[in-house]
Amino acid sequence: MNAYPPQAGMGVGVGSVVGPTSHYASSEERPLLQVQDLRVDFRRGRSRVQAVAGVSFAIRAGETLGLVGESGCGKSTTGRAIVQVARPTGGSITFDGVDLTSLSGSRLRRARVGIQMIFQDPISSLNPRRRVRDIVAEPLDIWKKGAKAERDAVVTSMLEAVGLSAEVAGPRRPREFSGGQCQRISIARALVMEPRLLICDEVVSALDVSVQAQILNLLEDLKARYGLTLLFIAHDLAVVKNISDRVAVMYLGKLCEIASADTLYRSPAHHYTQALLSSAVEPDPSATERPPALQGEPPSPIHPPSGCRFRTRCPRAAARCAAEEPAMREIAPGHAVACHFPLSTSDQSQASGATAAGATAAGAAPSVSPG
Amino acid sequence: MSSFPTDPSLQGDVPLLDVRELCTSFSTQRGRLQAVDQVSFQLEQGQTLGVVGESGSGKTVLARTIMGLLSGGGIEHSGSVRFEGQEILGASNAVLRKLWGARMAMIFQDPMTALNPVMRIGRQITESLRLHLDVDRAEARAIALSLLTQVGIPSPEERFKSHPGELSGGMRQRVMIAIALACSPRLLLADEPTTGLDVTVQAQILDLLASLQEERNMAMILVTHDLGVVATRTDQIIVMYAGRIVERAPTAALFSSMAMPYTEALLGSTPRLSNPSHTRLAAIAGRPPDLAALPSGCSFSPRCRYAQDLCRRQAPPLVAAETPGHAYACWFPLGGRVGPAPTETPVSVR
Amino acid sequence: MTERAVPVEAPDPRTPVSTEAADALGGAAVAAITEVSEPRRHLGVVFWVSLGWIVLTILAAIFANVLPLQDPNLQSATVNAGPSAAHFFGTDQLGRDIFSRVIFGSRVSIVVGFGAIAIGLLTGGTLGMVAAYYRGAVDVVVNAVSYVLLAFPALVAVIAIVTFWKASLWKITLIIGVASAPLIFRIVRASTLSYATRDFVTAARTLGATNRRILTRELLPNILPTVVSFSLIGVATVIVLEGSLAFLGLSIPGPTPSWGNMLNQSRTGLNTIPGQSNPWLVIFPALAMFLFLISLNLVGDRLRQHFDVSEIKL
Repeated sequence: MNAYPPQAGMGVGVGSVVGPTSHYASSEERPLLQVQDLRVDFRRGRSRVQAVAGVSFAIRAGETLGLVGESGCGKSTTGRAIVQVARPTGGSITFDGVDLTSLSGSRLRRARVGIQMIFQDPISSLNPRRRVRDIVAEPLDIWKKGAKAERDAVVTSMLEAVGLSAEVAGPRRPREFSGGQCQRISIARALVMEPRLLICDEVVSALDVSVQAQILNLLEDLKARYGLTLLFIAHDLAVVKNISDRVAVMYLGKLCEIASADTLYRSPAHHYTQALLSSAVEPDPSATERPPALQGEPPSPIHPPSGCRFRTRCPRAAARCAAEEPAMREIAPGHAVACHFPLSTSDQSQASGATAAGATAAGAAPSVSPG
Repeated sequence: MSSFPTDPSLQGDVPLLDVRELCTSFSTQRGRLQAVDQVSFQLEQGQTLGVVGESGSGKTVLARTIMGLLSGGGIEHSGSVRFEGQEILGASNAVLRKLWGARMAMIFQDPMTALNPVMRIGRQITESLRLHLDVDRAEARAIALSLLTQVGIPSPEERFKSHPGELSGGMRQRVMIAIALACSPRLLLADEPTTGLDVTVQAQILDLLASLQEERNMAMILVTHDLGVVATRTDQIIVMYAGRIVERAPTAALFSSMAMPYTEALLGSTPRLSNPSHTRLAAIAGRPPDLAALPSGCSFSPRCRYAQDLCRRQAPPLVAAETPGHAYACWFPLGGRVGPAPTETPVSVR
Repeated sequence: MTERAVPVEAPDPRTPVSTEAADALGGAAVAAITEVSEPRRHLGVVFWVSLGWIVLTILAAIFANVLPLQDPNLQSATVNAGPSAAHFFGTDQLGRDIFSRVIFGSRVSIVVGFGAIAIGLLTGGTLGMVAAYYRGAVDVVVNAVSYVLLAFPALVAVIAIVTFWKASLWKITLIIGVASAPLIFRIVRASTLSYATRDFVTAARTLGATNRRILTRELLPNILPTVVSFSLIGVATVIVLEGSLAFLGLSIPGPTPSWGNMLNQSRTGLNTIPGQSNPWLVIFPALAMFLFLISLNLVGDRLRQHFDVSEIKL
């Protein structure tokens, strides 16, 4: 069924790099979340689509991992598979020492309370027929936590933690709120059960720029305040860089590269990462000199290319790329890439020249107060 | 206006597009919405104007008004929109139909809804060609195929027979561009042409638009919410807030010496690749205002960190800054500038 | 035109004027939502008059026995009389009081109409929600069965069954109820599907809600307006169907009055005694049925619009 049996190809390679023994997922403490060779298949008509085709990574308690990629790369499916909303067809998801894929029914419901998810569409995330107070109190009601008065106190403090007045917002229904406010309500509902891991699936992409900044800052604050661990899934590279400690790049169901945010953006090793970075637009008129954008569009996930999935659009593709799938390997401490011919340091400095130039200009953003 | 050389081929000094004191309002259940309020600007041949704003800023309504697409019940316009010297505002459908496609064209955010889903791509392109240019079927087909090649569609012969649903979002936007450019318009209005597309596809489409524009010496209005999209691809930028122009400047001047606190806030809210991770964003409170219930005075004043009494009382006029072509609407502009004098005696002391 | 032209920019007319207060620093400050009460949506006079009429008719049917009415089967000496103080609606060809028969006759229509739709909702509606929520094999099978049943000419089937199986109130109700189930299934399924894929359902699952809780607490309240308004229109359709059966003499047999068999009777009454036709025998049962049906349809339609609007503005 799977094109790539776990024991062959990248499965083992990834495990050995990103697994719990790897030194950046520090060996003395086990990671909060360990995703091992995750596979999710969908049936589309008669064909099977591998939305996620063997993805492995670990998230340490207290860190933010960004997962970035273009539409259809499987990043959202990965997030949904972690909470078992999309059931994985292979691999394991170990959260806090428990393999979620082996659970079902009430044991699964109980185990995944520690993981909560926030979604892209803030309005569709909230039941239109219920009041905000009931929406936020719902998890407490499901798990019969505390007496009425205690619940009320928790809901009030949580609404206030996300910047809403419980008194004013509580008795209203979602449609009376803007997108940004709805997203705050979603965050409050997700945090009410004191989860350890928060999965954010494109949570700011439907919001206005000025509101997006508020939500990003809010997430950073809540993370510090409640000691959260974040998996931040988004397509916007600048947004992901802003919030993440480490960033993983996905392409057609597989991971290309994973590194600390600053390393990945300063010196990308995968050609796809570099292409993404050079395609990104920056609000800076001086950033004109950029390498040419990537040509074409991602191939169909129903018939992915053999070997390296990026080879059909890769400027450096060679015969080996079609024949052999590149395994994830560590090229520097904490920096792993799945490429036979990763970008060397000289390539990288060339690629990041424009970004560096941008950095100086960005510092000149006016912040002079008036009069 | 040093950055806008007038085209000598135009007789007199008539700009390609001249918008003056344009207002568009809608009547809704909750009263009149002033979606576009006193907007004026000129656009010369071959130039690109970026229109930047958040939701409710009136940027899309502005583009559609210029195109002459907004008419009918409950919509009121005032002011003037002159295209090649001809008044468009209130022009008859017959007049507009001659302009649409042939002289001015528009591309939209969602190419799936802008394309007819049951009509083959080829026919959608040739239709406009045959309407405006006096060509027969074979000629139209040849032109359409060359257009599809120009917009970078692989195997155009095959795509000619496809329906829009069979194409990816990026390919559909390329088809939209091909249709828009079929009759070589002088002005292209692009309303969020890359919103919803992937980063790499967005870069491709923006590059394509830029190269086609240069080839054809076509003027373009690029409407977007993303300052990044307009930063390197426009000659001048209009920043809109609550239906009004709050700042208008040549692109370089806008980024180097912005005067309006809203522009600064918008830039501060945008995360950047060039900043290290966990850089605190200079977010502003609140959200874009409701057009049906605008605050008194400057619409931005409730969210503005520099706002004073005067700002809440009286809306600032659009005044010229020191750089030619740079104008802003703020009582207390950034960068040590001295703002305009209020018409009434100011109560607050700066 | 206005609505179509500005979908991107037009601000949601329902969102309150808001200034999320200075919370640029995250969640510390409290965002103020200015007090703008939700504008009251009016259902209109027509809705309330129609609803009043429905309630009045049902109450009359329930309390017909205790109301000061004449026995609907009592044959008096005055035959085929017009409206008078003694007989408000006149009498039929057997001298029975039409007013009393119209009120007692409503019982059949009401029981068959509401009863059949209740059966349809319990079977088709439940299956529709379950199929749309779980999808998979359950959905495929129930869906296929519903198509087969829908392809069946329901009226012919009902006539055939009634002919062989002797009509009674409960049999008619059951048969029409079963016949309406596939249609209700389709509507409930479609309406559930449009909500089941929304993120608030996914969110409820990740919060640990059981499937039963999601079906009853998350999905049911959302589909209820659609289901209720459709059901009212369904009740009207069933009443017409029962009337048609009765008109053909295939429903509840006499002397039990029903609006349908009164019309049937009037037809024979008009024919047998030429020149002595009694228009009251047609007018009053027909009028009662017409007013009840139009009220049901108006209430159903108004409810649908009412909730559609709030859905669009969402």
